[in-house]
Amino acid sequence: MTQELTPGPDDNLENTITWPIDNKEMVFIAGGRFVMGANQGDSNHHPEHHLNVADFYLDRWPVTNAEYKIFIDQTDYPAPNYEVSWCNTKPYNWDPQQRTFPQDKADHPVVLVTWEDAMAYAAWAGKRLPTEAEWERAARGLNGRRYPWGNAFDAGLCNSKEADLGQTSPVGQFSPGGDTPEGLVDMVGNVWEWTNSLFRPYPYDADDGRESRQASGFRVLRGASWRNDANVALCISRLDGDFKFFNNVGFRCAVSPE
Amino acid sequence: MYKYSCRKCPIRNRCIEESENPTTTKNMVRSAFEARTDTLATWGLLQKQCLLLEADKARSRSALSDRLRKVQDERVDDTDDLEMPSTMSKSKGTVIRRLRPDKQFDPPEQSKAKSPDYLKPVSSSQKKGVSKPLRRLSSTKPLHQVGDEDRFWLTILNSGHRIALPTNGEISFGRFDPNVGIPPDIDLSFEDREFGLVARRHAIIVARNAEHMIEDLGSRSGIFLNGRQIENGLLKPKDHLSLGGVKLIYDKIPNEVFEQAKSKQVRHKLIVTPTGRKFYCPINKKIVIGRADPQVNFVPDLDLSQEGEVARLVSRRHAMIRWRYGQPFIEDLGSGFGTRFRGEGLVLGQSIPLKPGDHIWLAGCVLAYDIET
Repeated sequence: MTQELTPGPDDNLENTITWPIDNKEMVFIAGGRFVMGANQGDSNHHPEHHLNVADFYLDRWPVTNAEYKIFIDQTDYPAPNYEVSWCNTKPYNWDPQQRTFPQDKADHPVVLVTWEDAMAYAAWAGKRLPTEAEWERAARGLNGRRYPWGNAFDAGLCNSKEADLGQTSPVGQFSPGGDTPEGLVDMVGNVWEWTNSLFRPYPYDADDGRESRQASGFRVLRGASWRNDANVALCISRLDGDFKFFNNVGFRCAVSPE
Repeated sequence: MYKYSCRKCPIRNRCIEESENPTTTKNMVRSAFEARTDTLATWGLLQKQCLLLEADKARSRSALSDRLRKVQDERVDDTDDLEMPSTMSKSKGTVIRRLRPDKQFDPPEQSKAKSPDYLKPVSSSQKKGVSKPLRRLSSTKPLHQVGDEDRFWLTILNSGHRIALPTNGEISFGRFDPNVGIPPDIDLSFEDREFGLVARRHAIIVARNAEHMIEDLGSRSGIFLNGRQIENGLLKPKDHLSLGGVKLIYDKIPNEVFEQAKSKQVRHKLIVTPTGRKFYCPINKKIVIGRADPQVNFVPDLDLSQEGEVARLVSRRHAMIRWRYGQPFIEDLGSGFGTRFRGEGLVLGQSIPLKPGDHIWLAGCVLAYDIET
């Protein structure tokens, strides 16, 4: 489990496709009725309610630096490189001249990306960002798991504060133990992931304007990161992304079957 | 391990600024203190060039000056009441002698004549007893270097709510979140309630000698200065700022305001900024601010327990407003999470006069002080 890097196509998972443009594996998530939110814990995911989502495909792992590089090379998109007082960007900054990611971080999820960057990547790849309902369905399953792998926390199964890495980890470092039954990697821990949804109180309603891409407001982040502890590293945790970018925020994309 | 606590040091920001560390380290140190994640290692970076220690050294070099100061100290102590301006003599009776923190409220011209204020008596008074160090600490704050005429504030267009800015130091703007991040010095969530566009850590205003620079802290909605989005920029009088949905005007505080504050006709109010609740302060009456606790049957004069999550970290007896010379003074009462004022933590025993527009940070719950005619 220690050095298993990006899971290869020979993992032979059912319901997995390889998306042509960015060559990423995507997992089929069956739609259905599932439990969203909870009545305990942080008030921003109250109350528990039931919700239907349609079938969709979700990236098996967050977009990595190596994958993001293909995107910026093909589109001349600016590389993530910032010098700011409010976030330690140093270990994650790309080389602005060479447009290369930090050495030894090829398989790490890309961070320091804004919601707009994530949307640009998704548009380039012909995908979209998942809604927070889809994200929660994918992480929680239909039965309302607490963690992607089950209901009990295990510090060895995700990159949360308890794993004590102090930084992002290569995607798949906690596979297969930390994966969901469908094979989604790093759903909880490692990096927060941008979703398409605006941060509005529950109950979730996809038709109340919260999925509008033009509306202003904060977008929901899901999945917690290496900086969060077991109280936050849950399938139900939501965070409003009131910042542009951060060193623990990345994304993964989704597509709907046509 | 260290003689002075960096966490409680009133001139910490100056120490950070004047240290030889690179800017990134300075920023790191500053944010560590803000986040209260400072460790002894963080302190070590500052303790190498601790200004308080250097002041100690400078003083001990001259035995003569030490003796002179001792004499002076004693004389000052004896003539305590005589020093008060005649207009203030009425309130003499209400002055509580235990702490004597009012010493730091020197008239500006007096402090100018002396050496820099962090060089003021430290060690000699330290030996004497409990009451002295309190006074010493309060004298280290450079609050009176810049007079009232140089002070600036931000006025919120919608509500007319005013936010006085420190002349030196930093204050952060944002919104309170019980679960994530550091509560900012100024909580704009109530003003922004219709829009919901203010970030937890939205902006910071850095003040150097009454000049104010605003910097975006990576907020998604950004800062607009006179209609243009900026990363950072220097503020000029009459500038229009917008943070999220809150529009503000930066301007000099008119002198009349300070005059008004002294007159008897005005009403003094405290606004609990997260909910907009107003509390009118009875003049010349001590006001204890805190959180009611039915278990110990305690109710403070200004009870914040009904404010909900915002007041979660407020202590039962958190801070106190005391009146001297017809002016309200704020003082921390040994609260668990501290009181911040004008971007700096209040030290126990320190007592600072409130001016219109001042904001008091009580472990995340921010009170605004203002006057009403």
